[in-house]
Amino acid sequence: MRNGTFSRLALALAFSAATASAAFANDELQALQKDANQWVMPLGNYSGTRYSELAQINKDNVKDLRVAWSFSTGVLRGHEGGPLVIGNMMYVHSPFPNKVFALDLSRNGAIAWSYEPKQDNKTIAVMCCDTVNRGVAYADGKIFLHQADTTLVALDAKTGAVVWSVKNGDPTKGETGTAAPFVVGDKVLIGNSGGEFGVRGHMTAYDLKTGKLIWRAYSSGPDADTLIDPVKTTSMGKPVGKDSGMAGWKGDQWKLGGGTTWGWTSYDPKTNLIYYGSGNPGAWNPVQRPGDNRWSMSIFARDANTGKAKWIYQMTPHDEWDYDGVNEMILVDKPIKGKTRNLLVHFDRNGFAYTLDRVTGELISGEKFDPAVNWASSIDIKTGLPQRVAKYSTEGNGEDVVTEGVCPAALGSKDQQPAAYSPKTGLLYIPGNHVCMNYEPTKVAYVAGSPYVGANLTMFPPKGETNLGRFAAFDAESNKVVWEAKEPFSVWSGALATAGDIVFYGTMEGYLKAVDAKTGKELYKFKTPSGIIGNINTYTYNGKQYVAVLSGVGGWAAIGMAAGLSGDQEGLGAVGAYRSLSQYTNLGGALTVFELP
Amino acid sequence: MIWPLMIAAIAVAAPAAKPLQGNGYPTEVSADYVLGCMAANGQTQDMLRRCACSIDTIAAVVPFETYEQAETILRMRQATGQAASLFRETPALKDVVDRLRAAQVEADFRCF
Repeated sequence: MRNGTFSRLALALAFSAATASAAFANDELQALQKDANQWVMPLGNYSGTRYSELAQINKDNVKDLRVAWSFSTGVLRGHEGGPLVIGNMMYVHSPFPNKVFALDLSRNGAIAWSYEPKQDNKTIAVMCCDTVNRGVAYADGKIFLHQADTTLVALDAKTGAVVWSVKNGDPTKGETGTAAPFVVGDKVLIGNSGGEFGVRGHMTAYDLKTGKLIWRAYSSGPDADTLIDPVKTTSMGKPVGKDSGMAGWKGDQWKLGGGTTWGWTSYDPKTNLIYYGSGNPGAWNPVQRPGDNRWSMSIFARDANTGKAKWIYQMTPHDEWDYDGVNEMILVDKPIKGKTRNLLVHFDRNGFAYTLDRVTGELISGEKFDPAVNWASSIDIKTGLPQRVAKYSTEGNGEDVVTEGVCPAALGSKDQQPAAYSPKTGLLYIPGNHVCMNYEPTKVAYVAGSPYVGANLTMFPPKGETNLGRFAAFDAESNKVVWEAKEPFSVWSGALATAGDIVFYGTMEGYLKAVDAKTGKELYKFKTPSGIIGNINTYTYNGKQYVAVLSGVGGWAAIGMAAGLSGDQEGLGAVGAYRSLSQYTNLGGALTVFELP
Repeated sequence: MIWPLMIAAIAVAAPAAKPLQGNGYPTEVSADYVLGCMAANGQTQDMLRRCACSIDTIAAVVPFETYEQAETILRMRQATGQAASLFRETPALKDVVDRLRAAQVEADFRCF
């Protein structure tokens, strides 16, 4: 399957899928996402493959890569996502306060314009998992920014002037924004965050030109809210029935249902369907919310024009471990049992790799992509249900009891950081966690705008191992891990695969690494100024290929500061020393751009 | 207003950091330590000598790999949320930081 004939076939199929673009889609974006010289959406293209046809930088010369230029965002904290490149402009975003910089590539990255929204600092308090933002979107001469306070703002891509602005939610109730907007046709789609605060997840479409709300589809609740059709919408091939988003809940618990949509969206122009996942149900403590908790932890296929659900697949019914289903949906066309199928491949936090027919929602396979996974033994292909292992059931063990050694931990075998797919090798490249946990559910009451978690957890590497992370190549046809690179820490950076037969990823220590796409052999590494939890991209300017990545997480480690303080307290007390220290450490996140000499 | 924060370096062909002293620590890392140490303790010749002594002592006690991992863990502990708790609560990671702390205690004793 990994020979050249198949690669060329896969490539041809990938192209034919893309060129058969329907009239619905945004023609400009349709064309741009196929142009390898630009990087117009966070996942690189509508199929979410994070693959580039560029091959100037390849497995033979990548060892010579060097820094072309760098740029500081001036913001500390975790820098997720990555820059976009459209024409001669690069658009870089930051965590809260969610600055946007337009850098002019024709002037060595000089700032053409910058935008900093005014947001209430209180929003930071209701962000569960650092003040991250996963990037901006581009279409129609506009840059779309989804702020932490849920404001969606359209900026003029040339000037940075605000074209329109809408509020998608209420941060005082715990609703926040971290996901990147996603443009399809004449709509901007955004998902919400706040699953730790008992908010209701939804996906919302706004008019590209005006910001007017077109449709909103909740993850839980009555059919009118979820845009689910009791007859036409299917799950595991069967109609879901009336008000399925209320059926899996006790009483009106669906109102605190969670199922937020903070991950990534993909799009298939042939069927006009969008694909995304929903997160954890409200209250982590499973004892407090009997039922399947539909449709948390699910994959949704919806019509981009109307938001109507075509099919849904719930991966982890009645979640007991916080295995959010929001990770990216990778759309690939591959042969299954000799027949080419339109597939959706999804590496879930729960440690299983799911392959579905993306047109019908048929579950084709569900296999572990990390051997450490133990909460379920397998996925029953007939029912779609995970075969749970009783001793790892946090509900079975009960409230205030510690369930020990569950793999993966709540962070998942893989979190939101997107994988890549190379049609040349036919392999998928997974940035992964390799972490297990002890988990103790505790009773919790709901207070709007307060964490609605109800669980204590501690984490550690799988028994007998020391590495907390891995970067793995996975074959979705055989469901086998082909190679794996062990990493001391979780890999929280998005991968990039290129036609140069290399795959890039970043590490927590701050290394940008390039490895051989076929073997995983490390070919190059460079230490950027901070840890990398951003996604790597590539583009050309003036015919030359560049690779770009955001680094920045936490602050400066302050190791040197520890020295001598016990012997020289007055040094710390001096105002001058403070100022000089803060000048030295306050560098913020950095964008590093690489080139060949 | 934002200009002072920018480091829009232009076409600097910075090579990957290489160790100079043969102790496995890249010069860039040692310099970062000394600069931070002097920023905290004073910009004097005396402090330059003490801070340099301190990083040399640490380098003699723990290999660079340990130093780099401890630095990563300490940085990640400043992040917030669920993910950062991995770096605060995991016993194996505490051990790495403790090894660096012990080296720093040794350096404090010898150099300050």
